[in-house]
Formats: sequence, structure tokens, C-alpha cells
Amino acid sequence: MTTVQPTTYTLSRYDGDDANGVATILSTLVEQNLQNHPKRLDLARKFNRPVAVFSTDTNAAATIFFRRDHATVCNDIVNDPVVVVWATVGQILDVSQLEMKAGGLLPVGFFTRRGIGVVRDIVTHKLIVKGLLTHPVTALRMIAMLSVAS
Amino acid sequence: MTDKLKFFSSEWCDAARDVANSNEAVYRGFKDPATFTNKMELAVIGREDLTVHIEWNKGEIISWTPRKFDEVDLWIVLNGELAAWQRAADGVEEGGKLLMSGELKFAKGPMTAAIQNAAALNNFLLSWGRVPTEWAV
Repeated sequence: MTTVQPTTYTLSRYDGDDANGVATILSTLVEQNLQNHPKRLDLARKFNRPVAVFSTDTNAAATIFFRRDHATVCNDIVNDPVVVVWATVGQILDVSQLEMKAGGLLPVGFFTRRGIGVVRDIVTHKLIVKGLLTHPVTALRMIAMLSVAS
Repeated sequence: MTDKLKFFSSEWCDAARDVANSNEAVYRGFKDPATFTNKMELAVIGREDLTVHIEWNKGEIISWTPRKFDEVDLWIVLNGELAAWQRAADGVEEGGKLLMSGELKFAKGPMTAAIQNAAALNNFLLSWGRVPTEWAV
């Protein structure tokens, strides 16, 4: 049997105009990243469980569901995401600027000044990545999907 | 009699341009100020009369006026309620946090630029607090 990959990949906000700020930013970021880095389409198709971000200083969250031909971003943490990043706005900005190679499996961004700061926050539990130990590959892929670094 | 300038008026824009350009934290906050050359729109939601256009050249504002550019020429469009702009100017909330809470809305432009230049945005908005502002507009 031959599997044909869809040639288009769409992204939508489940809550439409009621999408919260985190959902709006994540959906815009993922959509623009997929446009700017088409190779990440293959990465998007590798997720088989939802992932989420909780912004601790705005007390809002969003969950991303990646499918073969589309992704959906929902308000709040829903459907038991396998990875959840609990972080401040500043930490989310830092994480999204980490360069990730090989689909996230080569996290070169962690070896920069900014990356060391992120690791330090994770170690000291100022930044919590639920699922990092149990699903490390998905966690790294998630960071790669959100990264604006080339 | 008040010497406060009405928010987003021409006089306010002139004053804000001066304080933003003289704020080194804005310039230092850009990922690469030498390439930060673009046009952007800032607007108060639901107030057509409170829309301003800013032209940046290498990290410096060379023009800040009420709306004057065609939409197609705008690189970034940022919208917010009047209260959100005021909270940013007063330093109550940083611009990044207002974006994440949805109080400022990124209506057009690359999210990459907003993330990589978040420090400049925060300091840019904070510099507005140095302008004596009449917010009842």
C-alpha cells in the first residue's frame, strides 16, 4: 500500500475568534513556521498526541493537535496532552528562540547562553516541562516546531 | 488647562518618537537594529481615529504620524484596547505579556519578528510613559 502525503497543511483555531492569547500566538507561530520551514511538515506529522503550553503569568493555556494534513489549536489544556510546558512569557520567548536540528533530536540551542538559562530554569523547576522525562522525543520535537531559529 | 498630549495625536506622536529614539534600551532590544527597517501600524480597537503609522529605519523611528501608509506596505499591525496601551506605557504589564494574554493583538506580520525583538517592543512601549499623556480621548 502506498501512502500519499497531503500537499497542503492547514492550521485552525478551534475556538475561532474566542481563541485566547496563547492559542492565537501558538497558532500563528506554527503556521508561519510551517510556511517558512516546509521541512517541518514531516515533523508535524510525527506527533501522535497533543502538546500544550501554559503561560504561568497570564494564567492561560493552549493545546495543539497535529494531524497528517492539519493542526488544530484549542484554548486550555484538553485531551491529556503528552507534553505540557509551564512557563512565563519570557521563558516561552526564550524556548522559542532555541535552534533545534534533526527534527529536534539535535538541540543545539541548549548549548547557547539562552539555552543554558532555559536548562537552568528546568533544573530549578522555574520552567516545568511535563513529559520531558517520559516523552523526551516529543518534547524536543515540540520545541523544534515552535522555534523561530533557522 | 492641561499640558498633557492626547494619546496618538500628532503632537503625542512627535513626543513619543523623541523619547523612543533616545531610549537606548529600545535600540539594544532589537535582534539586529541595522536591519530593522519597516513600516508598522498601531491601533486602538474600535477607534478608527486612533491609528498611527511608524516608519523605522535601522532601528530608529523616522516618521510617526496618524495613518498615512497603504495597508499593503505595512509589515506589522498591532491592535489593542486603549486600556492595554496605557498599561504598557505605565509599566503595569510588558508588551510580551499583553500579547500572550490577548490584550494586544498581532493582526499582521511575522511572529518571528515579534519574538526576536520582544525586548525592543517592551522598552518601546514602556518609553511612552515618559510622554505626558491625556488618555481620555
